[in-house]
Amino acid sequence: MIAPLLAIRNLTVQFRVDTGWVTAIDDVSLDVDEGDCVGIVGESGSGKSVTALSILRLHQRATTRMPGGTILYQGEDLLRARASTMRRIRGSEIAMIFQDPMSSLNPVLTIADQISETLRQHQGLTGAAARKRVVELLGLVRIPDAARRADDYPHRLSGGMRQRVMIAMAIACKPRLLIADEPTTALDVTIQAQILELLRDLRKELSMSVMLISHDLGVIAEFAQRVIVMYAGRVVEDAPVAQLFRRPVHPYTMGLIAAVPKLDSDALRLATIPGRIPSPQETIPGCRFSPRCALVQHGCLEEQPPMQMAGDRQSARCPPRLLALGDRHG
Amino acid sequence: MTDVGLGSLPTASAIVAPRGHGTLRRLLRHRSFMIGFSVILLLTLAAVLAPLISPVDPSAMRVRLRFRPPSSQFLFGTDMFGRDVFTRVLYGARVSLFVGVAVCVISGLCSAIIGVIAAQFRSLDGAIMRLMDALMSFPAILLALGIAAALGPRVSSVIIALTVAYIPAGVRIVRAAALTVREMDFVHAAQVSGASSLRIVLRHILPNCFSPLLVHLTFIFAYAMLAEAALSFLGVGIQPPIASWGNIIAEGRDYATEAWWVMLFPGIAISLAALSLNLLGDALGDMLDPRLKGGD
Amino acid sequence: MAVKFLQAVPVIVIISILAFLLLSLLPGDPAIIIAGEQASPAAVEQVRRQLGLDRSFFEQLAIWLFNMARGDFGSSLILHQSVLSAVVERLPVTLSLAALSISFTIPVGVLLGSLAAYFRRTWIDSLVMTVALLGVSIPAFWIAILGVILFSVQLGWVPSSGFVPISQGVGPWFSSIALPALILSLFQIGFLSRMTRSAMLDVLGQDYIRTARAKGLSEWRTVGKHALRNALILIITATGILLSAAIGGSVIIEQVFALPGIGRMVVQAIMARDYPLVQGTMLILGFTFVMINLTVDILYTLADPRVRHD
Repeated sequence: MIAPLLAIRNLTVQFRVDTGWVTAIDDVSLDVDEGDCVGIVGESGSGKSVTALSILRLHQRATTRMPGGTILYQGEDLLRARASTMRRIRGSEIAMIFQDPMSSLNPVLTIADQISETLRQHQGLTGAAARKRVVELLGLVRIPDAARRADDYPHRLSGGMRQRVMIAMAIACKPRLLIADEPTTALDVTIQAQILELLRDLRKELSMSVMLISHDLGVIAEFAQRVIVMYAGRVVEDAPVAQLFRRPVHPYTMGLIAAVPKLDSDALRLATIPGRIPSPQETIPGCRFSPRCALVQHGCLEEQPPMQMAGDRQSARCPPRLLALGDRHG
Repeated sequence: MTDVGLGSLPTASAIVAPRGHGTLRRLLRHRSFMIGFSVILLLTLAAVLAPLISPVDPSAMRVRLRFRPPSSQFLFGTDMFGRDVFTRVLYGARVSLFVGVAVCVISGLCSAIIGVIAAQFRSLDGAIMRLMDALMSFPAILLALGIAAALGPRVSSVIIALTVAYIPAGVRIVRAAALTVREMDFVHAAQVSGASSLRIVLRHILPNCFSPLLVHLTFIFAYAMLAEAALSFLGVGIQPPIASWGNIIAEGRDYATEAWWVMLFPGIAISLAALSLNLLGDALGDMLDPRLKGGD
Repeated sequence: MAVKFLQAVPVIVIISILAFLLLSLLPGDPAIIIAGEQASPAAVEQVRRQLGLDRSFFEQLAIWLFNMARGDFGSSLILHQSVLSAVVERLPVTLSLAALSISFTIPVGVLLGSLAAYFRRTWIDSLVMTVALLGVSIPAFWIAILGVILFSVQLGWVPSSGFVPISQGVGPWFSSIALPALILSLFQIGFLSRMTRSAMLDVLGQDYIRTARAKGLSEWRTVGKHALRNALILIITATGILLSAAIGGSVIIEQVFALPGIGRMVVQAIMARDYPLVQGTMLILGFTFVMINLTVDILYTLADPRVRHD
């Protein structure tokens, strides 16, 4: 088997708050293969963004600690790499785009300035050569009138265009992995579709792997090849997209899918998952989903359930369900 | 003219910060707040209880006792007229704190009223702000100097002068806060439910301008004390024999090498007072919006 | 930008009127006060006529504004020269003081504030903030006197008073102005570093800083270019305030160090009841500050592209 491009193993991240340290994500493991498109889905507070930010070590150093786990990229553990290594990787090999393009772009610098920074940093391009490449990139992300737009300031662009600029910045150095943290959440639905299509096309053109993070199942369903479901700081299911929707294993995944309203349904009420997401400070004995789970059993409350295989490439963190499905492997 | 005053602009979160019993607990745990508050409280008590603490006439001159260094009898020594420096510093505290409080209260009230009027009535806004800009064109000291000079060297002149000097900054803050609050949903809700304008102003807008104004006034207290000391030092403020920290230093200046204690203690007193007030202002600003000012 | 100039005009007019009204604050008859309690009725009348106080209020105001437009700011009673020439004579002193202190304040203040913000909640932050707090709390006139005692009297490093014009040599000029400028800058550095810290904290918490790091930019570039460029807006505004405060503060400093500057002249004029001089000087200073604020506003629009009108 070929080694994955990026392998996160047993990642735990803690943040410091007034009352001490609180665990944001616990024992997270996932792989991103070459050319893969992985979607991480979960509600707000599930830890998906925390996981993504950990890859490039973008957390605040003073208030973050990572007591366990590794993030392997090309054989190197990114969590223990030198700062200079991280700077080399950021933007050129692994790039990231964020949720709110308005606040993620510097308001006092022009678009061209901000994009050519990346080019100068990683490829040593300056002056006319950099300018040419900037216009090229803006064209690549389908911004009309690119040459003129390059000298605009971010506030002059619409939300969709700003996100395209962010994407242009991210792909400038042809990264091998693009992490997209809720790239369409702040945009209108029609623009959403355009941006996703752009990402899909770029992925093919540049042979890039993409890690897409979203709370929107629809976006994930359309875009990802493999889906990782997170809940309350843990990975609860990991499956290829079709399989996930056809046969969800974890009760949370089932709840999420059931909660999506269907046009052809006659139901009078929308399905919901009762209860609420636990705050990171809450300690729950056993499975963190148990207070809300309809299928909860005695064993769920006693210890943290481990991830177990539920088929060829599917795994989930719910022993009772796996038992019920009769797919438990030894 | 730009809209940034002495401090930062009040943000929406600063204005509608939740208040309640939880705030009191947080205040008590906040180190800067406790230190600042305690010191200024001590100084206030010392000032108020001055006659009890030191039942000596601060203006009593006993030439035989001039230039005595600090001792158990004269805690801060005596000055060139034989007056007890400790007592004079205590009484000077009265003057300084009184001026500070008076300036705060009066300028605060005026700022609140003028600021809200400017925010509510667009027709008056332009004129008011031009006037405020004109006043703010001068540094406070210079403005206060001019006014105090014209009115004569007494406590009331200093208070009036400093109040006028500090009103414009307060107006800016209240106006900015009021403008922000006006656009908030709960104000729209009140308007839609038929509340009169006056009621909206009094019940909704004013209370929410209170927080940034309070922080601002704490710093104004400090500035006013420092300014009063400077004015008294220059001779246009409070004149001896009434003791003010500023004029004690002015008098003691000529004898600085022989009787260093006359100049030293009032200076320390001013510094302590201003320091504690600045700490207090930082702490309050921190409580309301952790992004405002320095502090923890 | 033309709008800003237009807005400044009413402000200038208001300042003129305020300066004019200064005399009317005097309790009692200004002519008597200026002439002195002991003056004979004839002398008082002479003063009254000389200052045009025998005309009606609006006549006086009109004359005042008319003169001001011509550049005539009145004449000093004591100095026997026009207010304008008196101010210009003393300009080098106050200017040296203000310029030197500002040129020291800005780099030090911005650096300290940025350090405090970047190393938030560490000992660096606490140290810088403590120093800044002391700077804004300790009265300038007091520390000035202590400074004179230490550096002039005891150590003899600098003269204790007097101003040496730069024409007599940069060394002596600097010697005479160094300590006063330093004292003047203490408060300003305290103020500026606090403002800078606040601005930088705000900026460093923004998403675009995270983006800059995600692009692989070095910390230097991230902070130096992205962060400072944004904090610049607030720093420019603060500098405008500081410049005005420096001139205001020089009033006190010039007194302590016996420097023959504009500030000292104002205080002496007040003592000598030379009210025309006080009025005229206040007016000139008022105009100066309006110009400073105008410049700051223009720089502000240059620094923040969001504010520019396209």
